Amino acid sequence: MVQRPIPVLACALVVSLAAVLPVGAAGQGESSGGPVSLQYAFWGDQNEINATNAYLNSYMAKNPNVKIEALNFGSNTQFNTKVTTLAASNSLPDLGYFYEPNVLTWGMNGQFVDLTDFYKNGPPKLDALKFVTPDGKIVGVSVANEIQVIWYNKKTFDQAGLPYPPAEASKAWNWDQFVGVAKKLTRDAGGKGPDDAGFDPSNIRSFGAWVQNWWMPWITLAISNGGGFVSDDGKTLLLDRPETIEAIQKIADLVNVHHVGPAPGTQQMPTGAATALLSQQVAMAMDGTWDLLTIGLTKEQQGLDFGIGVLPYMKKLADASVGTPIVVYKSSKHVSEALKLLQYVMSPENSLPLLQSGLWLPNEKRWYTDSALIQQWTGNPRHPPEYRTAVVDFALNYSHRLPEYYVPTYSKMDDIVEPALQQVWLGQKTAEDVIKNEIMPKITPIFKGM
Amino acid sequence: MESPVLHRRAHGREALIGYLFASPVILGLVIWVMAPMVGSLLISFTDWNVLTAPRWLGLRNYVNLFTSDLFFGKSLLVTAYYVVLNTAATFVYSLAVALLLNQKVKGQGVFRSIFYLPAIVPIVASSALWLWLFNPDFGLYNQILLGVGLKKSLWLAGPSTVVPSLVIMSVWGGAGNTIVIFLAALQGVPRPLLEAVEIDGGNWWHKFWAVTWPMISPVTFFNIVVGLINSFQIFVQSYVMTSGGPNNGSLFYVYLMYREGFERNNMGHAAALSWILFLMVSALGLILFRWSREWVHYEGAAG
Repeated sequence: MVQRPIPVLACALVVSLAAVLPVGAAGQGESSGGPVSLQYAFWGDQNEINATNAYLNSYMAKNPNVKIEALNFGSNTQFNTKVTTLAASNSLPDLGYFYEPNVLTWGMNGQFVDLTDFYKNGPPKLDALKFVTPDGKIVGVSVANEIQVIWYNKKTFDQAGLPYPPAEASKAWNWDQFVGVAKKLTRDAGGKGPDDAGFDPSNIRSFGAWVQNWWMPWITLAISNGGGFVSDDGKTLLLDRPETIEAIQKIADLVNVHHVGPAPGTQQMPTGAATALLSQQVAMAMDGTWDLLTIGLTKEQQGLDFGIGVLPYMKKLADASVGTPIVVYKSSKHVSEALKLLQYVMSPENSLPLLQSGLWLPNEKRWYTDSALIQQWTGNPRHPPEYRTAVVDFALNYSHRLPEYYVPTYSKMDDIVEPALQQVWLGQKTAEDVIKNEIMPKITPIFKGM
Repeated sequence: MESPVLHRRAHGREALIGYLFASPVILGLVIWVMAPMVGSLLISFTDWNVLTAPRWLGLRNYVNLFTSDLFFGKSLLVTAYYVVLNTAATFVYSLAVALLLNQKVKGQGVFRSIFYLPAIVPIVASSALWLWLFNPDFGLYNQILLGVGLKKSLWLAGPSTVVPSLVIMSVWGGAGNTIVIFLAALQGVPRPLLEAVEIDGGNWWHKFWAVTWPMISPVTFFNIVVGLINSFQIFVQSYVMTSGGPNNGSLFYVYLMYREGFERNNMGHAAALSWILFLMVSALGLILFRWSREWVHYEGAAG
């Protein structure tokens, strides 16, 4: 009789293989008439966490049968990893923020509830904030609006004896005027400006104008010059139009020809516009309206005397909007309850603290036209007097839609465009060369492949 | 003499107990290492974006990587550059510092702590600091360069300078462990052999080349292998500091894998990338082990 040891190893293998085979979809929660449990996904710093919890708590107070679990996903870049993992295990939240570059691809994969009819009711939202699939479905609308402005340090302008940047669209500078002012504010270690003899471009102490190198500024300025990235109907690439190429080249020339901007790179001025202005390393910073929170705090705590100016224009006045959308997942077991919460969260009156802090702009048109409403969110010390014309009016009249809102292949194309353009920002190649020879051949098949 | 049956039954029971004690580790290995490996291999043969069912593609992902992928080639180049430069730099620096720290001087313990400290600074925190040090306009390093009359460098902002900059940062942070290991090896070098060289009239170089270097060769080999493997895994710096730029100059392999899989939802593609990495590192390991027979001397072994 042969004694064989029990094949423990074999048992272990079988058990573990069974464990990793896909488990049946876990139920999300029963939908009955009774208590409802929703998961709301978001991200943000402590400020946004507090404000989010506040409005969720007040919703729960008004709707006692609803329990909302707020899931903080950390940051927008960590978001996609986590939500992908949740999708793989069929445990997506009910609604919440979504990482903008992937909204359209997920929407076209049927992950989100079609909100077109939902947004037909109620006060109209800004059109530039709607994420629309090619077949016309709205899958999300930005919970907040953000445009770009020129932030500046008044002290720097006073010391140079120069007038402040205009805060009204009718008085906006054209590009050449903007560059001229920037030159007067750029000083090297010896106090010389770019037009003075003996100027040392490798030793600049303070820069006149900081225009960042990501897609929001250059697409905005390209639109201002009569070009853009993709046409509004989503059918034509505009990147290789001469107007777009010219706009991109002009931005690069700020650094390499006029020497008024800091060295290009993905992490220029790591501590942000507020510190750069306060330390007078930069006189004017073209950046988003979300900065009002940090710049406002820098004024209150460290005395930064800041001002807001409208963007300069190349051929026509233009700005652009961004904002994280709130989507509702089709896999939710409580879609109608989620839609009610969506209504609540998307209403500016329920997120007033975030609007008043300067971090957000409202997503509804009437909050830019009705004086009483405007007063509600801008009538506080954080918002300077010129905010009304430089931001509220400018956003209403001149903001354009950016490609991530309507071009599903945008993020794939951007993977090629952004690295290639870095050669242009560094002055190693011209915009025309890079766009025509390196970028267009690679992105055209991707764009058409949609 | 005991009966053959009893003898075998006792043996079987001993084996069973052995397996039971080892089962947590075996289970862990199977569940969390082998099963996912098999899973990722299967995924690499599909087109899967997590949201819809996977679509079988056979070897197409692998073929695409070598023919139509726009980032694979550049990523390999950039990663290989970093791996070679980082391993070499860390090795030379660590060995030099370990030799110095092995000298009998006052405050030896303090010096050893100082050189080890960077290894325990969290990398995400140090990334923020290094970003400022490397800042082309206002950072400390460019001020130093200007101060000694040299030209500014773009550091992390230049496509050709980004990898050397990251190597500097990595040597600062990673050398600590390697130094400690070298130090331990150096202290195992027998004094009589070193004294013999002295008696024969040799200087510090003869001591190093004839005695120290062969005696520490197993540890040298270990540090090279570990250094190479660790260098291949560089990710945080790309993710936090450079986003793979400028112009894909720091598009390291693991970062590319992460981006394809978790930001672009292209799981099959990312899985194929991971298996190619596995094959490359395995091949490298095999080559290294064969090469090591030429020059690594294990104490007590023949030759």
